[in-house]
Amino acid sequence: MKRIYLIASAILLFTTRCSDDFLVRAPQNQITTESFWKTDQDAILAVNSIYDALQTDMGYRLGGFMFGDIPGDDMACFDGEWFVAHDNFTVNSGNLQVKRAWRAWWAGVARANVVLNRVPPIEMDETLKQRLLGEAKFLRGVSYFNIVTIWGDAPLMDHEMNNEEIFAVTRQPQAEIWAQVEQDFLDAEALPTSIPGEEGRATKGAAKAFLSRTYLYQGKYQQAADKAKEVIDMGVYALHDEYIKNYQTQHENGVESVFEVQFVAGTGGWGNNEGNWVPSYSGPSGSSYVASGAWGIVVPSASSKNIYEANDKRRAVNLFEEGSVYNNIPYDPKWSQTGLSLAKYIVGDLPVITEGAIDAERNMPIIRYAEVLLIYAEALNELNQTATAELYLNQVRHRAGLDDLSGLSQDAFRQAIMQERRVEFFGEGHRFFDLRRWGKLKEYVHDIANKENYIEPKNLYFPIPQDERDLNPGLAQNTGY
Amino acid sequence: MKKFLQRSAPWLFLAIMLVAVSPPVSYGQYASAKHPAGRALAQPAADAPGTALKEVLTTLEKSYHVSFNYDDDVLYGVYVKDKFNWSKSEKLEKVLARLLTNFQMTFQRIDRYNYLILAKARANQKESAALSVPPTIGDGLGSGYEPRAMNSPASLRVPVDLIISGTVTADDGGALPGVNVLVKGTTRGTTTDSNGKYTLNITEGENVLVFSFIGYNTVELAVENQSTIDVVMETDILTLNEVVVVGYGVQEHKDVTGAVGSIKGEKLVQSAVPSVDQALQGRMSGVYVTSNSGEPGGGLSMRVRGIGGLGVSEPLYVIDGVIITYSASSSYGYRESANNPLATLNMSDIETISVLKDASASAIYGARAGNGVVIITTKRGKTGAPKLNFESYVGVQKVAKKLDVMNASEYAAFSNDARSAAGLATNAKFANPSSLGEGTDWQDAIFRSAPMQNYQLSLSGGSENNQYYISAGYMKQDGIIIGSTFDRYSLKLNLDNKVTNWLKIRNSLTLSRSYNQSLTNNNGDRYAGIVAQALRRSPTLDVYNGDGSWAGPDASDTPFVGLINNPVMLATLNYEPNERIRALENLSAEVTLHKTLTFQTSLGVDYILTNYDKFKSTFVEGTLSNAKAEATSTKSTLANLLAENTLTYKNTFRGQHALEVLAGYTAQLSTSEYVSALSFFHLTNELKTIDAGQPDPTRLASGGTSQTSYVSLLGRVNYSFKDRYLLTANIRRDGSSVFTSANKYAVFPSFSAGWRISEENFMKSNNFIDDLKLRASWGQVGIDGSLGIGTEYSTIASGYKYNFGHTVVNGMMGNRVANPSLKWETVTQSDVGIDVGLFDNRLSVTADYFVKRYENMITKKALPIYAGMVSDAWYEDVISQPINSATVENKGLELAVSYQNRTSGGFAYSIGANMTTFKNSVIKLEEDIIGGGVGNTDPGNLTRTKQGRSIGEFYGFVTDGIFHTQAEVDAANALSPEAGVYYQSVGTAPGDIRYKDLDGNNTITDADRAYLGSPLPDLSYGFSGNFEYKGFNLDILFQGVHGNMIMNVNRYVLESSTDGENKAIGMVNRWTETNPDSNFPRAIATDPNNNDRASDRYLEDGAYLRLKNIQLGYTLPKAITQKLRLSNVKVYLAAQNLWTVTNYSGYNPDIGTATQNNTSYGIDNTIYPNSITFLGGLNIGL
Repeated sequence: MKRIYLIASAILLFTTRCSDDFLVRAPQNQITTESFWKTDQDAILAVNSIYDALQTDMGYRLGGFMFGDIPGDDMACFDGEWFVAHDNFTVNSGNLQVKRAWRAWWAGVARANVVLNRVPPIEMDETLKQRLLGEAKFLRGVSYFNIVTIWGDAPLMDHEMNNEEIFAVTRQPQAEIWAQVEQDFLDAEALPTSIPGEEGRATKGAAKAFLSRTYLYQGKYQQAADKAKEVIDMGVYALHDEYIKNYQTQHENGVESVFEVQFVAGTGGWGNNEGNWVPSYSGPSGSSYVASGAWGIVVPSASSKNIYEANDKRRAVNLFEEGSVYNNIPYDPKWSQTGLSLAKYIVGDLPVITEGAIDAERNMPIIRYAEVLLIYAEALNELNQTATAELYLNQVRHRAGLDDLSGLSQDAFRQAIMQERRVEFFGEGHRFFDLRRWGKLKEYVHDIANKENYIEPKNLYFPIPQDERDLNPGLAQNTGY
Repeated sequence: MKKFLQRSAPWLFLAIMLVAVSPPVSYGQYASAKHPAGRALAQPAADAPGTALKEVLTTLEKSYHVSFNYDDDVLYGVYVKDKFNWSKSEKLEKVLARLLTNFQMTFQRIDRYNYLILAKARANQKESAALSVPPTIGDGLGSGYEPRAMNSPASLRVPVDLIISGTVTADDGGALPGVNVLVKGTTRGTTTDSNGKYTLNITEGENVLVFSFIGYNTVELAVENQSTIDVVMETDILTLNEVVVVGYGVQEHKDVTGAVGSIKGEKLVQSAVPSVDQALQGRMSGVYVTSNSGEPGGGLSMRVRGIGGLGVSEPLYVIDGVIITYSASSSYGYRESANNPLATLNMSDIETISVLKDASASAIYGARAGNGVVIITTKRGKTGAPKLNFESYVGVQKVAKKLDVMNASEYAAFSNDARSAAGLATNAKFANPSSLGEGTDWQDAIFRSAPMQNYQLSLSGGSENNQYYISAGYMKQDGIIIGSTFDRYSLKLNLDNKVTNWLKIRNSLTLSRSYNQSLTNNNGDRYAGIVAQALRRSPTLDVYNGDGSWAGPDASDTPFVGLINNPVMLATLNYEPNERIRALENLSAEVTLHKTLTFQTSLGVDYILTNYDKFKSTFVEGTLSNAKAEATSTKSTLANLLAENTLTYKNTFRGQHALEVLAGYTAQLSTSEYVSALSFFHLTNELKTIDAGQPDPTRLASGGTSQTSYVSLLGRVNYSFKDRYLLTANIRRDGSSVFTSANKYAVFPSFSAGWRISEENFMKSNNFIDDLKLRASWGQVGIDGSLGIGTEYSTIASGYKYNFGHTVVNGMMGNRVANPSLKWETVTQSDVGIDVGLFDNRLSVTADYFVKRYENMITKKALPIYAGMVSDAWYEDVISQPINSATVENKGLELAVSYQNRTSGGFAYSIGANMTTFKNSVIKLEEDIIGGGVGNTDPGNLTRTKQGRSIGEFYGFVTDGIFHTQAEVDAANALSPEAGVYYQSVGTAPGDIRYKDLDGNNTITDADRAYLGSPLPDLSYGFSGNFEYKGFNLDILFQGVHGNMIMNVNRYVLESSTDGENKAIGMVNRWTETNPDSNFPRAIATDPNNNDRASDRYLEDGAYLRLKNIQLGYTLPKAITQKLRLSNVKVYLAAQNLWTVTNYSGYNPDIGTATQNNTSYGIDNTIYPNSITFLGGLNIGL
């Protein structure tokens, strides 16, 4: 009998199949896509990761220098590993730094798309959900704003794409991208005015201000003016009484700050950390102004000390030059090839010494209220309201210790705005793009700054990384590259 | 069953007659069989009308190429009445059964060539003699029977003068039952009982006893008035390698249709090495073993039939039925791959190793068999008296070779030259180089003579129903570099229990603890690799200061001698113990459901606990120091569970159709976990634990878990017709957790056929071909291991942090792109082979030709950045998706030849040779794979794998001698019409290396790099010889490779133009203005010409021939052994790596791949050198 049982159990053993679950072994050290996207916490964490893209080196840390300042006439680079090619317009489709920026902004777009696709089904507090979706739209808008200003035409990826779609995209005309940017900022206007305790998150004001800038870049002056006025009328923002406060840790996310990229110090040495390395990148090389010793990768061009009107308080904030003293140490012009160093990301605070000595606390300003005022002023002038425009321009001049301007012709006002933006946003990533939209690149960059390699239309935009075109031959290259 | 057979014998006879008789036999002929056979008394010999049975047997012997062993007594006076007919197409067993059954005799098959003819009474008594086929009656009816079973006392009808007794044991110490003991010159004798004991009466004048037993050499001993005569019988070498272990079973060699290499454990232990794979080197065709490090317990690479995967491609190991899993992507990968998991096995416990080479043999292991399967079985007990064996050896190792580098004065002169040439200040201390003398020989300072020792005690034996094998082993090997050591304790318990006549329990348990104190060689890193630093550290520096503290460069030295640490100090301070505790168990039950049907169920467990610690001490040596102590401690476990159920049906139909069917169902779950902690700034170097480091926030921890699971169905059919036409089909359906639901399951089939031509009638007439078999196979197997765990899942990573309101917050986002349609890599292999046995099987030849094609190999398809996926917190890594795309093919030829013989003078020998040749080609590869990275040594990546070439070819510039004169430099620069374009570099000067301008644009750019050669050998081979004479034995093994290249990375530094590191002695003869004909580049600290770029200058022929192992042994004569009351005593002397012929200039041409990666073969990045070992051994059997 026993054998019969045995035979039976043998047959049973043979015919019993493990359930299919036995063959499902999800990674236990990582959360899978399947198990994520369940709670409000998941949604928050995912949105946080979009902000992280802004913080990357070639995102908003150095990206502003690389595209907005160095190719212009006021900033220079002598370090071949970094931005010499951007300075002298030898940049090509193999440029590593361009590729790194490309990576940062597309990460922003893709992450926002994922959030916009996967957060809506999550059961969570509706107000929080809407806010997070608004932040994602804002951040997608910011990312696309950078993409369209740096590279022009771009793949329009307005939803989370599968691989097939990804390989099939082509570059859409700028106008379509701009429309997407406008829509995202419009949607993001629903964001709250402030999120106390979480300074740095996108707000209603940030969305409106970015939208205003978006209109301005497209020459949509009426809309730019309207939107800037909305920001002004919010009554939330004002100019700091002193220009330098924009670059002081104690005043960060202050009254003038509409949107800035957040950093904190002391999160870990030379590794990946949350500190701002810009003081080390821009500080006078070999000085003790920055605990790391600084590398002077980005330096003001020698001519940039000549752009200031007398008594402009901003000069001392923007430039270390012969006679400057910081932390009781006189500036030595030998610390820079041009005899000048960019001061604004250093001068506001004393050196921060943490392990590795490079992760500074300072935030990077992206939109300040001063820009809203100047957008409004510029747009009004283009809308033939020069007199009104002067009021807003003069607010900025006044804070810089300069006399008010009045009775300017429309054209003279244009010149004044150009000068004011140049000085006010020195080293904040605006100059090249401003010159481009004013049609002044050739004049200032090629003729005045003597950058002989500059040609149009090639150098109006930057090259699409060749590696990307190898993977997707459908991506056209910008003219001239 | 047996009782049933006995009771129902007549009925059974009838039944079998009806079923089994072959058609030509007429019914009438066996009608007479109804007379109970054997009842008739034997006819007297004189008037016997028939043939003597003995004669019939002799004819059969010739015909079937077998030999029968019998007691003459049994056959005495037995005649076959009528002519006994048989056809050669009939299976011998059937012929014998037919013949003998009439005489109340039976036979036992000892092995392929030897049969024992026994009187039936004895066979029943012994209960172990089983007829392998049911007895049938043919036309040649026997008529004579003499009831004289030889161990029946009645048969001894002689006067008793003397009673002799004794014990017969085998040379391995076990009692030998069933040995024939004969009085020489008579037909009288007896056989030994189950304890090997015998008693025999002899009369006056009968002085010599003859002991004979199948498989052993016959022994004749004089009685000389002794009453006790114990005998030790030696194995006959001609009868080895009968049964081959294949997947899920064993097969007789003659029936194997796949390509299976097999080797006995006793062969392997001839090489006194700690690890199984080391012992396999050169022993088997188709198996390419290379050492990755000479370090004790260090890793090896084994590749079966060519190089497959683009990453790691170790074969699948099956130990005592347990499929071993190792996680391919370990988070501390370097350590894992450098240490050899097989090092936990005690060599002396190994019974056989089979390597399943073709798809037919390996398909039964399905999805994981793509790189071949290595099946290891351990020793088991045998019925008989307890055998106690003691084996030991002690030895000493020394470094096989030193590299010739500069002494202090030569180096100082070089430094002066190099710095002067670059316009740099020279070292004041080097002002008078010749005064510095020899200085320190850093190689002497780190190398040492290192002892090794091995002890093994085993006990085995058992009763009819219960057998055991128990062993304990200890092995300790110190490394030839100070600070490195390996030891291992092992316990083995194998039990076989026949619980009832239908249930057998089988238990295999191995416990081991291995420990190695490893010297991080950091892949030869010039700043951390111990050998690299010994070669490169300036000989002008001392080991110790006068006060005994570590000596190092002072501030004035530093710019001139580089930052190379004191290697003696590093080796002494080194603390990197790695302990593995392993339990490997397989418990199985075998149930005989029916005589044809067996069910087996087993549960296997492999549990490995690894404790790996590492401590970086603080130190000061001159201006070089480390102020930051750092400790890591990692505990990891691997728990591998395997449950298998198989059902085997085995039967023979009509005596011609043999069928065996196997079906099985298995499930496996492997879980690996680790926890690692890190701490810094320990108060002293003595306190190495994590707790002794500074507390929070500098203590860090990490950990992880991963699992893989398999569910598989397997089946096999073996069919043979007339023992000539053999067919095998295998199939395995694997389900694996590695793949997505779309491709979770895959089916791997294989088919093979064999034709034993030697069994055909037309071959019978020849008298020198004993065995001739043609084999052909085709099949598919898979590879899933190259993927890592969880590739099917897209995952979310944390660490994308941001800050709000000055507070760091975490961010999480997808970091990996899954491929839902990813599937197994498929290996399709075709094989044709031939097995030949000639001259009484003394000469055997096996040859195979194979085509092994790896398809759908998983490569990484890069995704565009604009897809937005980021895998790292730095936003730098390239994002890719695993896809099935590449194809790699290996075509090769394997040949194994052996000849064995024993002369009448007692000289026995066997010689064997094997060779393998294969051609590797990458048929399809979308993106070149850059490999062969050598860390911070200058040339960077050294290999490139490209479609149309072979895996991992060396890639770099082609040198064209050196520029001897300025005129040559000028002429080269003048080639380019463009101003400001130089041939190589603006700083190129006489004494610099000239590179070939391959693209013809008159300037050297990256486009002038080329494929320089392959690290894969055209031919790898081994040959061995075993010679025995009067107790002496000599075993030798040669092994080598041919047609491969080695990149000698040492020379990038040792022969570079730059200073700061010591140089090879050849650089004494470097180019100078006074020595313009030199072929060594000039000394210049700045090396403006970049002389140390990756080029063919450092590529060398990797061919070598090595006397891998030589052993001279002596087995004490029995006379002495018996006096010592021992059964066997053997002493031997052995040496390993004694002699190497090679043109390679590095330490050791046996270079594998330090990273186990196939794209990094043949790169000698200053690995731990190999050693020459001398040892003496002693084996004692009680």
